[in-house]
Amino acid sequence: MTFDVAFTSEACSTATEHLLQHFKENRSQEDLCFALWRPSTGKLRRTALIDEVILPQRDERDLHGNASFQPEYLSRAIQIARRKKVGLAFMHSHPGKGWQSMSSADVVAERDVLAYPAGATGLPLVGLTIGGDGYWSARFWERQNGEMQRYWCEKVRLVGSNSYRIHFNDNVSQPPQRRDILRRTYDTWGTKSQNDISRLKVGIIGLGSVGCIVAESMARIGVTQVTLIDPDRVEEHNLDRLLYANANDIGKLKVELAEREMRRNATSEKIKIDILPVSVHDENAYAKVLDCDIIFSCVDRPVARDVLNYVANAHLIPVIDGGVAVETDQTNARLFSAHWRAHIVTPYHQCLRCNGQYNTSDVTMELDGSLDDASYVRNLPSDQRRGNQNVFPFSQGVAAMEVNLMLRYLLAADWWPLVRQQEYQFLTGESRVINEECQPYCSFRPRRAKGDHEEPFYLINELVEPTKSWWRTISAGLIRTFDKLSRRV
Amino acid sequence: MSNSIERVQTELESLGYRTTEYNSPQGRVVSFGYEIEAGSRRGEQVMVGVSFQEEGYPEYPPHWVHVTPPLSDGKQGVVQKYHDSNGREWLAMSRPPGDLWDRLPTKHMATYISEHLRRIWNDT
Repeated sequence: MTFDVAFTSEACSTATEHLLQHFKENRSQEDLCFALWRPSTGKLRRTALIDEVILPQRDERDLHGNASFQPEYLSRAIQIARRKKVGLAFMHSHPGKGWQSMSSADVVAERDVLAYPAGATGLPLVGLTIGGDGYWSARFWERQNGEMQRYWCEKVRLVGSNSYRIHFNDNVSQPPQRRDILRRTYDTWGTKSQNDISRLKVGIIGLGSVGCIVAESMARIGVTQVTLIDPDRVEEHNLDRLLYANANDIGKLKVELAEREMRRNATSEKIKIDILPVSVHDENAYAKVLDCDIIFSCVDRPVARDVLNYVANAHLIPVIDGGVAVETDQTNARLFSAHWRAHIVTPYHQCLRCNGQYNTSDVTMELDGSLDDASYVRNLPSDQRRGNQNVFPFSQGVAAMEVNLMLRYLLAADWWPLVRQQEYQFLTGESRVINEECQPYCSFRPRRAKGDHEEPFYLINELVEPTKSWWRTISAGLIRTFDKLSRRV
Repeated sequence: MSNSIERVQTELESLGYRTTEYNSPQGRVVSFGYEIEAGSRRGEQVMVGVSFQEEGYPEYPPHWVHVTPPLSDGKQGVVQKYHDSNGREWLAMSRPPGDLWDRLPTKHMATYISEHLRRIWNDT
């Protein structure tokens, strides 16, 4: 199990402003405060989602170079946490830079003074330190065999409207050795950015024409940890758009094809690729998605998009979604229009429902099997039928737009203008930025940073039955062959 | 009983409808007496049903509208016929409220009936 912390922009700003207020006035004075956190539990990672800071009231803390809190402050914070059924986090500032280690006094305060009473919330204490440069470090205090154990976080993620900052713990997640093969990449955005990008856990959901180009980009820029999810196999009609696929690949799983090519073309020294040939609403896939730091949504199904809307908003894992829309003039069988777009989805960006990628009725139609029923789809009104026209260069356009949107979100300075969504019109050659917001009654706004409390109601377990039936088919086949041979003998 | 059906029944009964339940090829149906409110069939009494996934209502609305006697709305879209255990013929029409449901401030059977069901047989 690994550990992370993710902040909403508001909680991060409030805490940073409070904790660094004295350093900004050139006074060597540390400070402290409490915050609330909710768990986001993946397959191999637990993340504390912080969306609320409890600032000290008058006389609730003492400042004396270091800082200490009064019992009343701790008691108030625990009461709020218990009432809201969330965990307690304790934050303090250090004048140093980068990921901060802990002094023995810090350890005593968190392990011996705070961790036990914080257990009254039912969740472990999360301790955080902010350096004078605004760099966060964090740890969980979990009770093991009657003693409090410290588990250092791998990173602290700061999810914002215009930027996504990640503060890595180099001791837990070591930056890769510089490789000459990547020298042009290092030349482009520098060692620090490359170290951050290479350590991201990237999820790619959907390995069709867009997803496989995104996967190729991740392999080339030196990403080292990737999760690929897609239940589909390569079919003949995919070959005009699926990067590297040829006739020999028909029938193979798309995730296996993508994995093979990523391993072949990876520029990092090692690459860890997890593949799941299931839908993203399979509970195992969903748990793996919650281990990711950023996700590419290369799907066209409403249920998958709904799942990723939950992940982006409730679990603070940014999702980059995109798609192509092609209209053909049916009379003349000619291209009438084409445009493609990409958008970031977080609590600070328009959700996938509000930006019209799907609606809840689409989800119910997919869940009851209607959208997989050919006669049902054939009889849908033309405005509800989803077209599947596309060509390789259009998919390249979307994939490039999605990857560049991710890079911009990670690398661009905060003062650049906001870019939530981008769109390109093929026939006019125009590209535009769209910065629309969610509708007033959006169901996802209240889900912000709620973590495990908010989960799609329709998660399934696809791995159990197919595995069983696969074994049944194999064993039945073996028995039949054995019977035939026995009869011949 | 699923959470969705239980909730829909409660909401319909709070609006004064008497409800019954039965199984259909499109899932579990909650049905109730309904007077068509608009269009050339305005004032006709029918039995209307909606069928549900197990959970998710009210955020996720039903898309199947069932009606007996089997009065088609004459619109494009998926339509299926079946008989219930009493031999009554029903028409199940897939009529998702996708264009409006997610934007409604209140997601309730009252709004489902007033905003969505009302327009189904409205041919004017």
